[in-house]
Amino acid sequence: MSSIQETVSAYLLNELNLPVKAGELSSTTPLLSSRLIDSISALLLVEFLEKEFNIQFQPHEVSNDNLDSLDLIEAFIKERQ
Amino acid sequence: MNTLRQLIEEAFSCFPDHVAFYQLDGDSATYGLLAEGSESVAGMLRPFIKSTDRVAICLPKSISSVACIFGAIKAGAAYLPLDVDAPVGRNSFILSDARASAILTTPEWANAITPAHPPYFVRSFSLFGRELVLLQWKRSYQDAIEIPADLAYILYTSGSTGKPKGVMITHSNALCFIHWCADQFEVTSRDVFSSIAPFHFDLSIFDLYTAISKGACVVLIDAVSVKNPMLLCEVIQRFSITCWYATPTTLKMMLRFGRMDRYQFDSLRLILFAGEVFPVAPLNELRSRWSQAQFYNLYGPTETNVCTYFALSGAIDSHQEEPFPIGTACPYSTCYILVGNDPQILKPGLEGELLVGGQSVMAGYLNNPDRSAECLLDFNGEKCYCTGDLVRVDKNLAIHYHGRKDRMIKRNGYRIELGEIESALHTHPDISEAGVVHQQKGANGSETQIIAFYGSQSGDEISIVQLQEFLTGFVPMYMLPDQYVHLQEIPKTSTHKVNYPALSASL
Repeated sequence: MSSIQETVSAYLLNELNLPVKAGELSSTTPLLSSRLIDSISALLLVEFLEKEFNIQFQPHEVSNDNLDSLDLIEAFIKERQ
Repeated sequence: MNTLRQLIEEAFSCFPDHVAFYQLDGDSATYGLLAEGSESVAGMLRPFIKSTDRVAICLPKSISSVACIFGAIKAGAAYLPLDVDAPVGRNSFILSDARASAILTTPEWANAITPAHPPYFVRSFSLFGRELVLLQWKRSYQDAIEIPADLAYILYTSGSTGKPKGVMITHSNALCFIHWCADQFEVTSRDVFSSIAPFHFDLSIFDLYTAISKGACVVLIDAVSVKNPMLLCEVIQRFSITCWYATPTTLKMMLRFGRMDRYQFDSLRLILFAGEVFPVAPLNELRSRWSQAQFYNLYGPTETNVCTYFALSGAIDSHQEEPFPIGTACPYSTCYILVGNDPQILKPGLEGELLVGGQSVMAGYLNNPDRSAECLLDFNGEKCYCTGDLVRVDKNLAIHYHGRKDRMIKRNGYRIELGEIESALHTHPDISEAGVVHQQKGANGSETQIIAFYGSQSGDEISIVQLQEFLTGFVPMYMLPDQYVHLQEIPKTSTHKVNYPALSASL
């Protein structure tokens, strides 16, 4: 897991209290489509990503396409940085 | 005008060139185009539909799903909107319970459903660029239940016994509300309405029919976009929306996450909210931001549609903590208070269960005469619905909501019978007993959380992920618990029933 994924993973587990153990969360674990993250938590995650990585989401970018796994989140961050 | 069909046909002929519906992807349809699309659906249905037949619509929100609804109405059927995201088992139950004659759906959904009887006819067709499927069932299977002659649509709500129940709404039930809204809110063909609520939710009746009764335009907001408050704020600006009707949960999400400073909201003239209590602090913040708009609280269970309303006006008192009243009766409704077993006319200081009579009261629950008899009573020759809502009447005869007399709760405007979640939990092979309670959290207790307690056959805790996955096979997303608590034994009352107060107290 990259350092970006480590940071996001720590936020998901510690702040959003994702109901999985640290070892169960992989780079490809579906987050939104599996309902591990509810819609409010997804919005909190967006706020965290914007602050932590100094990026901005446009309204249409808040979607499963960019948020459904640690891999997708990392790809979105790298594209924006 | 006596039917929704007449209302639709009149709009089609009066405003053929007005845009009737927009999708967020930019697609749109004029009233004229919608007339053609709905007529093609009606043409397919007419040969085998009679006036009390139910036609289910199980489609994501789009112009083609609206054309299917209007097509069913034009063919003389009652429509039955299903939640396309609900578990297949739940929708299959509803199809069987309602004895639907037909369903209009997607090819994927047509393959997934498991109705009690196999369809005898299947036909694929294309509508506004979407591939759809029509399934039909035989009449011998349909005619087994009693249906009112002027049934317009059926909306299923959560049922305490574990099965959803179908609320039968007639054309006259619906039209009194639609016409009153059009007058009260001075709707014109220049208005642009939001359609936030899904079509299986009663807020959609206002969005669809009040708008088209005056030739206004409706912006269809799909189920994914509804959860994106940033997008919702942008949509108001992009489409110059004038009338926004949403639950307080959606409006609070827009305040908290919508980044309102980035957008213009000058077009908004009317904000309507319903479905749950709107805490005063966020409501006042919204009123400050959208100060040019009029705000109304609409109240009413699915069984009566909107039956009371309250216009928010005057200065904002920042110290006020008690929610605004649900207001006074709409002209087509009468409200009474059930004190003990005695219905009473409103007078200041009265407290009890709210009873609603008048033209909008449902025909009854489909295929469920016992439940209908329990909650519909006759008072002075008028059919009244016992809402289960506990209220009090203030000195101005405005009605204030202050709780429920049973275990039904509201979350994001959706009614949830906690008993339905319990029933679903009981079907898990390792769960021996279950008790579900709710608690209010967050600022002013405005967030409703559901907590499921359970005992297991094995005595072991079951993984939360597994429980969530299991329940999604039985209940819609909005009914999923927020927490699961494993107990060796669920506390019981002296009569061996689940002791809910003890469960709540343990939180």
